[in-house]
Amino acid sequence: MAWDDLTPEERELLIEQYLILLIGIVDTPVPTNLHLHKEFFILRNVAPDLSEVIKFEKHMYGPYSPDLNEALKNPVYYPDAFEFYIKDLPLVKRMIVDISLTPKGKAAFRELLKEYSHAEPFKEFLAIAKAIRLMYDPLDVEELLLLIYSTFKEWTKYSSIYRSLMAPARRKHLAYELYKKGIISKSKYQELLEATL
Amino acid sequence: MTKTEVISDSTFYICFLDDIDYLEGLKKIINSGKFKFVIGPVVENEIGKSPNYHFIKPDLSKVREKPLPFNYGEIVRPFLGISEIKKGEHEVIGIAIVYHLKGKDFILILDEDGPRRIIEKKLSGIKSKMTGTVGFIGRCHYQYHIYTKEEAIDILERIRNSKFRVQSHIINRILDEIERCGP
Repeated sequence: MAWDDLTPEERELLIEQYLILLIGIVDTPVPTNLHLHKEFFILRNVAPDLSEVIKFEKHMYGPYSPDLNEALKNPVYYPDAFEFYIKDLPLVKRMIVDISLTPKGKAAFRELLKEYSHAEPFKEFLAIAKAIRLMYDPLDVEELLLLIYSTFKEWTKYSSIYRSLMAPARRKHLAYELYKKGIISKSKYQELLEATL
Repeated sequence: MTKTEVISDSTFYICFLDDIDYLEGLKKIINSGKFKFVIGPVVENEIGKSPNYHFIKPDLSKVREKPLPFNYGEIVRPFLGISEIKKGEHEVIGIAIVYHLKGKDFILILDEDGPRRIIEKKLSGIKSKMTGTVGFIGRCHYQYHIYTKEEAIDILERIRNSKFRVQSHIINRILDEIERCGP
């Protein structure tokens, strides 16, 4: 089936399934809603077909998908699959945090594995999703946004915190921390030091 | 016999193709029957720029594994610099992470310091699979028996005298390993 041929209902179903897979592939919760959206953004860059299913917009925190937000908060096909909390973070008020699967969500995850795990592209997709979770979950919100903003500048147009995050002192401090922890290469570190707004 | 998959950046191929201009040395590895070479599109494009690439392409295509059509490099693009991305280092790391998570056995040949540091500090599961071009040449003698001792030493000395960027003490260390492993 071509992605273009999907009905809105089929798209909604797929988005919820992708959400279940990305959240379920690692045992720990997705730290914040920002992580979830940025991780899906990376995922759609890895698997470009996904951009036909999950649309992204330039938003106040960079790349953001209303489709994902709706699927997480009001799932139609997998009701009660997701759980999360609301918390005030230093950078973002009333942030969705600790996103995980409920027992019903975990059962749905197992069903999806059972149904599709014979297919090599599906196994590859799961490994990719896991890789993304393992690479991006450990970042704190500021680190995550700095890396996304500096890499995908065209997506920062409406970002409300882009300027403050890219202010020299803050940017250099964050860049140093990322480099010291071995998260970014020296070349990326240099780029962050020399970045201009 | 199961072939070990080799995931390498372009530096390894360019070393033989251009830096030391020793195509036979690379062909011996390619035609040894011991490896499959995993090459993504960015690295292929980089190697393809070598005027000597067409000499090895037919042999390489027989033992080449194309990864599935995902943009693996995008997994780690935000962690690397633009110059590293242009060379396809992100693609190599992305493929290696996914292969590692799938439990595949492979050798990762990486020469650039930046990507190597990320693997050493943040991707410890892959660290043991990682080597550099000169380290791999050493192993092609004492582990895979593709090169004789004299051939391996000759290639390492060619590298020492070429524009290939590697510190002399690393070449010396590999030469010591080759000597210790006997004929």
